[in-house]
Amino acid sequence: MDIVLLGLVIGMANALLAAGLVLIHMSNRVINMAHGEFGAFAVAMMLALTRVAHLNYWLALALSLLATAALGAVVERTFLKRLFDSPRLILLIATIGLAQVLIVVRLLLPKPTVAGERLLIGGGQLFPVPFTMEPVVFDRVVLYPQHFTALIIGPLVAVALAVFLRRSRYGVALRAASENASRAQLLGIPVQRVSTVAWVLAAVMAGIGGILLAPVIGFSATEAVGLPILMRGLAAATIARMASVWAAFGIGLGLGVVDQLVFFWTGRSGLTDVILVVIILAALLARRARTRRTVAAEESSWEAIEPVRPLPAEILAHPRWQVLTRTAAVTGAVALVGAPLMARSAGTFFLASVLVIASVVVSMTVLTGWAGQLSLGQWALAGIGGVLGPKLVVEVGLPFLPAMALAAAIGGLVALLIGLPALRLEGTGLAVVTLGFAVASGSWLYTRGWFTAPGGRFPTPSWLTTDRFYWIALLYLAGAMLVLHRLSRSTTGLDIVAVRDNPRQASAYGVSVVRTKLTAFVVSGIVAAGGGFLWAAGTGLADVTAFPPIRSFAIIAAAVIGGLGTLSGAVIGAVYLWGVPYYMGSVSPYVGLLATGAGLLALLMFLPGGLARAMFRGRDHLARLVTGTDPRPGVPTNEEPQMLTPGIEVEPALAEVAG
Amino acid sequence: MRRAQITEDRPWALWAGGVGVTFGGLRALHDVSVGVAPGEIVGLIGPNGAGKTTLLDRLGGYLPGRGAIWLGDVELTGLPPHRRAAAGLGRSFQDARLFDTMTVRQTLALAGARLGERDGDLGTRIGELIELVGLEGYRDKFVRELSTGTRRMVDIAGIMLQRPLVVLLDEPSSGIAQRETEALGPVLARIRDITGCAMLVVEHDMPLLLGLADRVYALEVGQVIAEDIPARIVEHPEVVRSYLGDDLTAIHRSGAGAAAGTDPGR
Repeated sequence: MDIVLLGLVIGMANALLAAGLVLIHMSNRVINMAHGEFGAFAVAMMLALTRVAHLNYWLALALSLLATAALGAVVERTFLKRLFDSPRLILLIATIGLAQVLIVVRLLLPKPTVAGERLLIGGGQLFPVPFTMEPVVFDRVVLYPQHFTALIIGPLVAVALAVFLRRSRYGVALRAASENASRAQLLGIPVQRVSTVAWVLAAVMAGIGGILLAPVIGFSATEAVGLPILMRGLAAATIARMASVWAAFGIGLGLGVVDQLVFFWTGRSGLTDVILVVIILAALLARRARTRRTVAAEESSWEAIEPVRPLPAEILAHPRWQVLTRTAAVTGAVALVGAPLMARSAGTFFLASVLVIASVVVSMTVLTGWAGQLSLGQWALAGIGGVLGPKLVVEVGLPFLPAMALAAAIGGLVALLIGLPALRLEGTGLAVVTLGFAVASGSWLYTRGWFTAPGGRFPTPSWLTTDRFYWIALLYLAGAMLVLHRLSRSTTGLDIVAVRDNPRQASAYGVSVVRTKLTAFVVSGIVAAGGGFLWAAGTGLADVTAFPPIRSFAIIAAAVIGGLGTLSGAVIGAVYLWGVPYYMGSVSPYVGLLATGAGLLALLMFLPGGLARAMFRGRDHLARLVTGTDPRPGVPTNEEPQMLTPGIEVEPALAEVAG
Repeated sequence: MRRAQITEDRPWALWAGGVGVTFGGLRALHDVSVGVAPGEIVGLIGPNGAGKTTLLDRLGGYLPGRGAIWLGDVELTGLPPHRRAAAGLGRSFQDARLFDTMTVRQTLALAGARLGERDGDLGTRIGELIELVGLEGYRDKFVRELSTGTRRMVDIAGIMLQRPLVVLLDEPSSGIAQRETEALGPVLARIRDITGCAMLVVEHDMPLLLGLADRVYALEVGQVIAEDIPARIVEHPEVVRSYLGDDLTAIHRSGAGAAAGTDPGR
């Protein structure tokens, strides 16, 4: 009973977060990955106002929530408005960029100091409470004022929300917008304003949830804090099918109780994350049985990917163009292979790490760019290779390369296990499940003795000099890109793109949608896990410090910034992701996060094709300069093929061809 | 997946019995039975919301529901769409959206990829087919750059490559010009004559459908209310009442004729 009470306190934050996620999903059909950050922002704000500015609790609360509300409104008015008509997956990725920007904003807020030290991690006692009382002591838990605050304020917020949704015209408008945004717009419902209201409400609720939770569980001013919080809210919202605010609220409360019960029974906090993943999977699978017939927004294809047009044959065959491209290829290859001979050791190591990161970004491109599926746990998949692989070397005694191959294969196997249930559904099922996997792998799997190498270390083999490491990384990236390029030209590659563009039509052509999506995910899992193995080899680390779940977001950002459609874009993205903090890290420790977050948002809004798009434009210009032929297609002729031509004029040929 | 064949026991190219589909509590189809003989063109008419597209979706495996479905001697009932396609069931969608980022040639390669032909042979066949339907200038164009009429031609070429036993066509005239609509009937009839494939066609353009079909089913609120040859179906009292009202002009094209029907219910 006492544990259930504690669970309800924790669950209140889940519930408020989940309800907000559903509100936003109803108005925009997007899963807001930045939602945990709204809560974390309010907490940081509260802390700054009470511990740095020494304001009174209620005043600080009001100001914090006001600031969070303003943040929600600004976010909606600027980014969402601009991307309102984008495919939903793009919106989802945009909220990832948003989350990264919000992390930086939060980290820049003033932090309380204790004995002259800026405090980064602290317990609940740092937080002020609205009233004081003697703690209530139960058998196994002690409830402090902050617990009772949550138990009182949480339900009040829920009631206020219920009254608002029932009484104000926004409640109905919100439901209309969620059914069919464009039709609601035609009926004169101000969909945009409804969306703003939903974001403000959701942000405030996330803020309240965070402020209620922080004194209970403590806080940490690190990047990753928003993720497990988001994960729990997202789990509740997903189980509630993103359709009912109240179901999400109730399930959020329930998950809090489950969380605490598991913790008290087993004494392990990480295990609840695993159970959460299992619950999400079960909920997703149960959803399948239902007959639905909505033209889901998710069905809209991946329009951000404008296909890259190959150069026309006459340019490719042009002697000057051939000389140019061959010279460039040879020079490039020599420069890449010879780089370690010119650079110092640190520089070589930096280049090698870019290559390894690039191989993981490439795996993201296969999955998201080609197959149109989103994994929020790609870096955690890399961790499968990077945490288990060293164990194979150190404890099983496998040589380096066989261990790497086996680790990569296991990465593919894990992708298969995750994808099998998650990919049966359309839309964002995989994103939610992989996020759960990322969180659970960091808090549980990578700390298990049976999965990790001793001490979470990968002792560098004596033969593995920095130069050799660079060459192995180069070979791995080049090999992966070559294989993937061949794959994209094969029948399987065609299937993958077809399933992304139009799954119904693809299956009418005999393509198995589920198997094709699975293939893409397994391939990307293999490539990522192989890259992860190299990452562990390079850093010497084989635990969660080398594979933090949050970096999966950075990998997504790199893939989008580089350009999702092409493999070369992935490499550009990796250079950006790793290069900006490397060269500008002295400016501010947050520059990398800001560069990816802001870069992501800017590119999605202004250059959806990514940096690779600009590169291919440059290629076209160059081709025209060199060969004098314009590679872009001419104005399409107005003459349509005639319906009349086939049957009547060429009937014998038709008979022959149609067999 | 075994390709379906016509046998003595299973003389229908496509047969569905007792088909039922519900959306939530709404009964979209109730106890519908239809048959399509080998090489036959069967029309499906009915007002908006009668369940025509729902029936095609159920037959194609895109919706769960009750009832048995057979393609020749292969039972399709529980199979997913891609296995129905492999058994020899073709499907043309109303929007003919195809694949935005694929070229015409890639689309056809995809359509023909599962025929077990050698790549070279398939390439040759695709080349011939492209010339045949007048798509030479569009070979390397992305599908999203094409007009609906052109996409419809690519769609039809793709279906021909698959050599299906039966094709389900959903509003083939939708979104294409009047002149092309008039040409569509003969094109479809000839494809049937040459390939021998049967067709089940949903179509709002009554002159097109009545000129094309051998037999017509009329649907209303999820049930078959009449089945007859085209000349007689339009005189069927139930059909006149439910679908055509008192006004028979829709059946006979007057001047430029009725615009190609689009179903706002979709």
